Amino acid sequence: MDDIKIIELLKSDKQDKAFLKLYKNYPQVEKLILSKGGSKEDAKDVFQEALIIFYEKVMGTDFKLTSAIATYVYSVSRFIWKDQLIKRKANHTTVLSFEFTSEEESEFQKAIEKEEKFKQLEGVLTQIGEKCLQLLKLFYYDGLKMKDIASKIGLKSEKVAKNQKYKCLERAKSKVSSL
Amino acid sequence: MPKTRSTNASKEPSQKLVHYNVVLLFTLKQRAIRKELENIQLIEKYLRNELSSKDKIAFDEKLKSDTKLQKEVELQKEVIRGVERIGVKKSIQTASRRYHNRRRGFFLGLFVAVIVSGVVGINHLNNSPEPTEIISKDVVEITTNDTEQQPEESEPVVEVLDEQETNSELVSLPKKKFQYFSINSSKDETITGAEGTEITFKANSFNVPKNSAIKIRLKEYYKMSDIAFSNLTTETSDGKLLETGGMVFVDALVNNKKADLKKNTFFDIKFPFDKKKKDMLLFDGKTKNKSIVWEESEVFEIEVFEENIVEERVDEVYTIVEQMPEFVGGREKLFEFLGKNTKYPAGAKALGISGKVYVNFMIDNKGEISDVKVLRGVHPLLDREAIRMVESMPNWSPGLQRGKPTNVSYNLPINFKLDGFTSTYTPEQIKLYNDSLIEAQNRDIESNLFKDDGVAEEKNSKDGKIAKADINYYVLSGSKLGWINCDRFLGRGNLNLTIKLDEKNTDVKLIFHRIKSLMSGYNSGLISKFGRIPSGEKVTLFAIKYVDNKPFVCLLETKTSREVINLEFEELTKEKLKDVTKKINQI
Repeated sequence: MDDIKIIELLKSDKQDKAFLKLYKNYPQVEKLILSKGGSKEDAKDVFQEALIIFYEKVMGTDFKLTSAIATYVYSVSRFIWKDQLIKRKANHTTVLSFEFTSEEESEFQKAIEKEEKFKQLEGVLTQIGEKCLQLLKLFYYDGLKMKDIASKIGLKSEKVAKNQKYKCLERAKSKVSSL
Repeated sequence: MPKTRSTNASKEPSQKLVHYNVVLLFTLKQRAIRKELENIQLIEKYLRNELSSKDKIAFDEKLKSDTKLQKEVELQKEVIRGVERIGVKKSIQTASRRYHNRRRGFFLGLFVAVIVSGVVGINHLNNSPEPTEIISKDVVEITTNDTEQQPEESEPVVEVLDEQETNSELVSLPKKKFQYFSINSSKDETITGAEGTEITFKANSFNVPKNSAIKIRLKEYYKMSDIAFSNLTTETSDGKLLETGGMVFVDALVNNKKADLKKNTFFDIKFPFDKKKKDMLLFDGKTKNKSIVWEESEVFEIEVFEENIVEERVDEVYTIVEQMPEFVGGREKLFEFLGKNTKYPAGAKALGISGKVYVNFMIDNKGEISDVKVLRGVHPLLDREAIRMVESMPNWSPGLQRGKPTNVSYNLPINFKLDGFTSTYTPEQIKLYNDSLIEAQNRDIESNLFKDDGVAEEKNSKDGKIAKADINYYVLSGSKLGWINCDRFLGRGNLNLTIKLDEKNTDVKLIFHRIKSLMSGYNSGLISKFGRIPSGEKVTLFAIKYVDNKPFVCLLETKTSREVINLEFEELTKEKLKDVTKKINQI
């Protein structure tokens, strides 16, 4: 099953591949958004947002695949777009044309609120400087070894990179604590 | 030798004391940073499950009762979560780009072309006499400094701009001109700027051949109008607000090419001031959104990283030390020991070499000293003597962690002075050292441990020997040329100040009355914003815009509130400029 493979990829640090596969669901979402008063740019944004919410769901502790990924991504996209329309104060009938079960409603609403918080967190982290952020990303997200990171971003040695990492963590912590 | 000590101390106490404070500052600050970093390292190992089972149990135990540690752990987890999220988003964006490119059959080449033409467009904009011109001159300097372009390329640009100003009929904001100084690279040299900045370069500080003629370029910004008319702010790169004690731009040229300081070389910089404020620190400038913002000078980082104070050897030992090691008998005995046992190397005396040697060593769990090395030396002769002296010290009482002796890395500055004795510590200084150490320990890291020399002034004024010049300066050391700022941190509020604009290209500055501080507005569309401002604060807004190349300015005094502010502009005439300058400087 393709769905299971995608989830395996997401969980095994091959996110790039997984996301590219997930994009096969994009045309459907684009069609939806275009038909509900949005632009292609809106569709791109909504879909990216939907993917990250899906990712968070997969990485959550109690994740179970209960529906096809395509269905889930499509529903989340719909919900995000509805939320956007409300925020943009679009006319009522368009907004009302979106229906969700109460379960979906509460799950998606929570996810969107969580996203808002994450956006703040990401915002302050970008303030620690590009190089710091790159170093931390290479280590924590891409899972590279300190030695490789050092040569990748032009630091003298593994030791220097390690020390720099702690320094960057310190900077990031002071930023995040101000949230 | 103790005999000569007291007489010497009364002869010239001020100079010594001032320098002494600077030395003290560095060690304390270093220690605070090191401790913080070690703490982070420990938490990191805990989170990544890299602690030995014994250490893990100890950490868990501590975590149960220590709420501060709990918070730190949570914070660190949050950071990692955030970093991962940024990574995920990047992956999604990459996927999006690949997907859409594939779908539309885009070629990468097309992308490149678009980007390049975009850059050209921006450059073009910068060269046109649009409002960006207000700042273009200073930006040129920054690029020179950062990208190591050769100054001869940028210099003519600056001059051309100046010419344009004088030739045109238009009144424009006055710009700071460079002051030039010539120094010899192989001598100790001090330059003094027109507004009182004093910078001292030690002999052979630059990466140039011996006896090179070095041209030092300096711009000083003390007056609020000078700061407001430039692209300077008093914000840090991470959005903290600073109160300024003066800003300068300084760099060095040899044959019109940029000359760099040697690695780990420091220069002393004195900022004159009228009202003494505590906690002044050095900051380096960086450009952000066309304005210059500040980053705490990396003076300390260099030592932390290059000397590997956070080292792998801490693996087997606890990295948070509850009690620092101590010289048996305390600091007074330590200074006595140093005073008695240091021999000024004859060669160094003959050559007239003096200065501070920073020594780092390890005090192991038995109190034995090992691993003695020089962090920042003066001359091999003095460095060697400093090492010899530290190695000859008796055992210390070791540092304790949870009551158990542990290995600790320790820094000690040793001051070699050329007046017959080596240790320059008088009883007053020892007391001062103790006081400041206690004070420093009581303060948090953010407030940054600067003990200003005001105390020195009081303690020694009975001698009546202090030159006024030594007191009315902030004395700091730096290791990086370019934009330098003498500042202290200030807290921020939570008000967003919004200003309505009628012209996109308007530059708005916010000047505080209570403190010497200035922010640059962030424009989006026809709105200029200032974030996280204290509410009810008396401020002056200074704005400038260009209509048909003519400058219009607005000066508005107000109190910060949620209300949207409208600006009324007047054309900038000579009288208006005079008036504006005067008003800004009266703030």
